[in-house]
Amino acid sequence: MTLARAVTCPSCGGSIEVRAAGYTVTLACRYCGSVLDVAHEDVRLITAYKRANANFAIELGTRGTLFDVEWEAIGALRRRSPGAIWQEYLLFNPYAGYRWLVVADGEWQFGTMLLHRPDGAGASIEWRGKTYQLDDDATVETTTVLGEFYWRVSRGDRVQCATFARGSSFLSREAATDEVTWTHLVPVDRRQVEEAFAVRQRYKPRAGLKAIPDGFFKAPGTGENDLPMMFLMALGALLMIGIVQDLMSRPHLCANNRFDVVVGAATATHKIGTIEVTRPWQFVTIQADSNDFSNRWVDLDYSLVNRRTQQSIDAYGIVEYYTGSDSDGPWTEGSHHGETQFAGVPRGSYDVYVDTGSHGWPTDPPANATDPDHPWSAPDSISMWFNACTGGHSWGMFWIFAILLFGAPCLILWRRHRD
Amino acid sequence: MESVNCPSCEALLPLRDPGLPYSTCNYCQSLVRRRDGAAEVVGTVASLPLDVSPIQIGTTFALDGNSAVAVGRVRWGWQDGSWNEWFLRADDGRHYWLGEAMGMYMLTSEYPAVLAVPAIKNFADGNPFALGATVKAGGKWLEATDVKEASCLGSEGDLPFATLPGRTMTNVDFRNANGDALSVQRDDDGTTAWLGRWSDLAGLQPKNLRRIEGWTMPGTLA
Amino acid sequence: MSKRLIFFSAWCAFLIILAGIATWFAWSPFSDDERPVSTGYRGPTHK
Repeated sequence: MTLARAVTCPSCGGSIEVRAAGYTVTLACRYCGSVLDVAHEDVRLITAYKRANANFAIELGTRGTLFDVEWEAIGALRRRSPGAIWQEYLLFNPYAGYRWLVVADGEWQFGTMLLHRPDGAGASIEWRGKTYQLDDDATVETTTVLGEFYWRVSRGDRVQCATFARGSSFLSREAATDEVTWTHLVPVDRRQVEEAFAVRQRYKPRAGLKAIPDGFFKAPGTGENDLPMMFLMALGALLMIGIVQDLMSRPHLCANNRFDVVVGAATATHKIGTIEVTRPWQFVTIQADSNDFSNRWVDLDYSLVNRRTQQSIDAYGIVEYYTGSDSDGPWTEGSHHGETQFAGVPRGSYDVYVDTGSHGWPTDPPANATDPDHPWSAPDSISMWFNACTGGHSWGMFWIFAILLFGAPCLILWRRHRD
Repeated sequence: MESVNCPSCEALLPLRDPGLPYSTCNYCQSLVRRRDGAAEVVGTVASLPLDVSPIQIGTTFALDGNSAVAVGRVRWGWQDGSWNEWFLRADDGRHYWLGEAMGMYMLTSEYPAVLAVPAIKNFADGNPFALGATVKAGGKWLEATDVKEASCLGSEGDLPFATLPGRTMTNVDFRNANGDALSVQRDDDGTTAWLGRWSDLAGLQPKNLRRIEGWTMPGTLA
Repeated sequence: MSKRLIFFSAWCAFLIILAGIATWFAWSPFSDDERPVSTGYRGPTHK
């Protein structure tokens, strides 16, 4: 007869072993993560979850020897305070009781609950004739629960946790609503824990690749909750990039003009004006706006002709707008505005030309059509306004930088959320 | 007084403590009351739920220079769990309760003097007890940290009271920073008070612990 | 400050400098080019 109590998860039907039978009160299903009340013969579902988090450094059920006693990891918690995130493991041996393994930032601590509590309150306390100084006092929240526990535990539990330090040894005081517990924590060598409990590879600091800090994307077990700071930094950097792009693309020297484009007519060439590129390299941005029209497109072939060398830089733009009606009702497509940007225009004086050509959709209107009811109407034409300026903001570049900046913190957030 | 046989199934009921009136038959779960050499079945005890307690009937402990042996066990259940109380008989005839919780042990012996304390007398009269209240017992101040309504889930061995299903009690636990413990229990038979201390298993110097499959008994306890 | 936060701040600084260099040379992969074919039929891509 094996001494584990078998229970069936009422949520997912999975079969689970209760290892500390007789002590365990709460169990978080290893398959679906649902929190179960196993204090009594009949197992009750407390909170149902869809997915268990297996993303812990130590697999539950693993046994390892620490301080000459064999321990089985039976419960795991992920907890966070405003400044940190870490993992805690509940260890069990029927002859030795319970212990804790706490890991933060790759550092491991071994915890024992105290029967003899320290004296004193405030910033310094006495325990076994030694003084411990207050190190931290914060609200600690349990974010993930897996395995079995001898008390009622659930995601979202909050306790006030004060830590007192003396060298590398700590006393931790946790105050829940009606109970205060004290735990004595001593450091354990990382390699010792890794060997004893077969710590998962991704939670071990990497041997090579020293350029990348240990476990850059490893959210759990990180001592600090640096994610809000990362988002703040990314936002600040993006703002800086926006300012840099704006200031370094100046000055804006413009030329503008207005032309009528006859629909269906041959391509016509117009000179918008002359602009001066005063920096070694600059963007040139041309905005084209039209009057109201429908079911027409206007091809705009721009040329910047260097007045000294007569060399030309060409770019293409279009203004198009269509309307119609189908089974979903009326629709429109396009706009009466177009923007064309030249990149890397060298210093110099440029004449700006535009070749315009406009056509109708689905067909051109009849040339020189005269409506018998409106004999005075002019040929079908579109008025175009052009404004060509040096400089201009490259939004494409801006969004590329935004993706590069927010990619890392978003990935970390996603991984953390997935846990 | 000699060992008797279970009136129900004829199995031998080992006599572990002649002073105790009740014995649970290990085979048929009958609760047997011994009186004047005769044995009668007074009911059936629920079978104990599976647990991994390292203690068994016959485990011995070294207490204050005295040796004590576990002769019986009651399992109590309450809203948020359950726990074992082992009844120990020392060589000098004294009795102890050894409560198991959170992998820790609370060893207590009867301390009736504290029943005279007004707050506890009030509790014994059937009134509720306030958490956080402090009492002085054996020269130590202790604070009430826990009040539980518990019901009997089962038993084994020899015990001072009947452990039939449906037996309930109210338990108040007191403790202090030095690891002292006081337990006041009220049931239909009256109120008793037990004073002692918290300890880990090794601190009780146990011998003849239960062998738990899959686990190696630490050398210091074997 | 955690190691990865230091690493990330270096990454931010690198990107700001990169943005400065790209703007100085007015470089962008999104600039408009010459029309490949001078004539072409257009129309709505709707349906």
